[in-house]
Amino acid sequence: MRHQDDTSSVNEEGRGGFSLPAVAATGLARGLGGALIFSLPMLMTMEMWWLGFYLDRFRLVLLLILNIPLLTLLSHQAGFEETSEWRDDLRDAATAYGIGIVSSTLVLTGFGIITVGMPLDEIVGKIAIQSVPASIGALLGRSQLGGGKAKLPQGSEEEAYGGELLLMAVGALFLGLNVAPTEEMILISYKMTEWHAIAIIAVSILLMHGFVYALEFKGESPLYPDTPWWSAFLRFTVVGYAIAALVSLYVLWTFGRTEDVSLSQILMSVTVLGFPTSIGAAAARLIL
Amino acid sequence: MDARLKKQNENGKSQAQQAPKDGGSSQPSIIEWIVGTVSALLTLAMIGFLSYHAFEKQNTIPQLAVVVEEIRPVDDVYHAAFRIVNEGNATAAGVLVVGELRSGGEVVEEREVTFDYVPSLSERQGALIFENDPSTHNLQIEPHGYSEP
Repeated sequence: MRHQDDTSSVNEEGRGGFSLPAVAATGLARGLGGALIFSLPMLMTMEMWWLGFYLDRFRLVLLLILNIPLLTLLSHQAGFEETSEWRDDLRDAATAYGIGIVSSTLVLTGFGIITVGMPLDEIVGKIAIQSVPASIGALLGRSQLGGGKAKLPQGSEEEAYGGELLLMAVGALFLGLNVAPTEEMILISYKMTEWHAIAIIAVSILLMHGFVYALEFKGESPLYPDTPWWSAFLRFTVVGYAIAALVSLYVLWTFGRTEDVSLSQILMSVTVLGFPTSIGAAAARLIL
Repeated sequence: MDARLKKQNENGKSQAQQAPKDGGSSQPSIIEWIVGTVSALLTLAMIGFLSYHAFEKQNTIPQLAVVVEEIRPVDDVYHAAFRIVNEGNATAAGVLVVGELRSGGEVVEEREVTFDYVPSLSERQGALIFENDPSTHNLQIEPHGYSEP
């Protein structure tokens, strides 16, 4: 496996001499650790268990399929190694997905959430919904626990910009999946007035801009210290918020929160979920 | 690439202000501006829509109405499926819906169900399960009360 080079150069420096299976096992263990760190909050949320059996099957399958290119792109952009070939990225994505499924199965079985007597549809549904955040965690865990950080996207300027936006989307999706299934999410939107919603949007955008300034002006990103504030605001902050809002809408739709609900009520939920997702998007480089 | 060059020429002045540090590509590409503008419009549309509703909103009470959809015989019982529509501007929580089967002024059977939420300007679906055939009786389904969320 190629990540032998990576781990040995980053962590096992000087210790060397690890056999191939040992290195592979280290990588898998890091993935498992990452999967648990990222997905335990969701594994211990009862709404996530319920979603496993009442979620519309078409939407569940769509989420599962969308997760494949997402993991692959994430591996390419922020992966734990310098991947040059899509084949490697696809392999890393598949491994992360596998770790996500196995860890979800183990934890859900350990909690007694899935038992032998249950219908297969319910068991598979419960594992499937959890495997998405767990697989993101597995992929990131391999880079995080390995001491690496999400690398700055390489390549042309457009590619680098696209990479930034992808990281934002993953950060938003990750925090969104964390909070969206709970009932509090929609309850908050019922308690708020439209004025509250507008205030939340303003606060979200302001906080995001703070993150953009704190994280992006480090010289290596596409932003330069003499970039005017409105330029960074329009190209990163506002775009990030739009991504966070769209990801929120997608997650709400996936979880069936938009059924027979008026547009204004959907927008209220989007702004509520948009608060954590925008923080997730802006801080993606911190978390991921 | 052509588009980017063009953009750079148009913004000759601002390019001079943002002099590239590495002699390379600090000038944002046109794609970034397009994405930025679309995002700004999207966000403004969202805020605009919410403001419009905030101003338009007059009385904030839930207005609940039940519409019976169909009677489905299931095994020995009958499911009276209905929609509960909230045409008001406020969300109702804990909505109790009671259904009665009457025969000549006398209540033959009574069933109830509670909806956690019926959001404003939205609808929810449910069913009451009767032992007697609702189509041979007088079926009445009404919302009985709600709480604020």
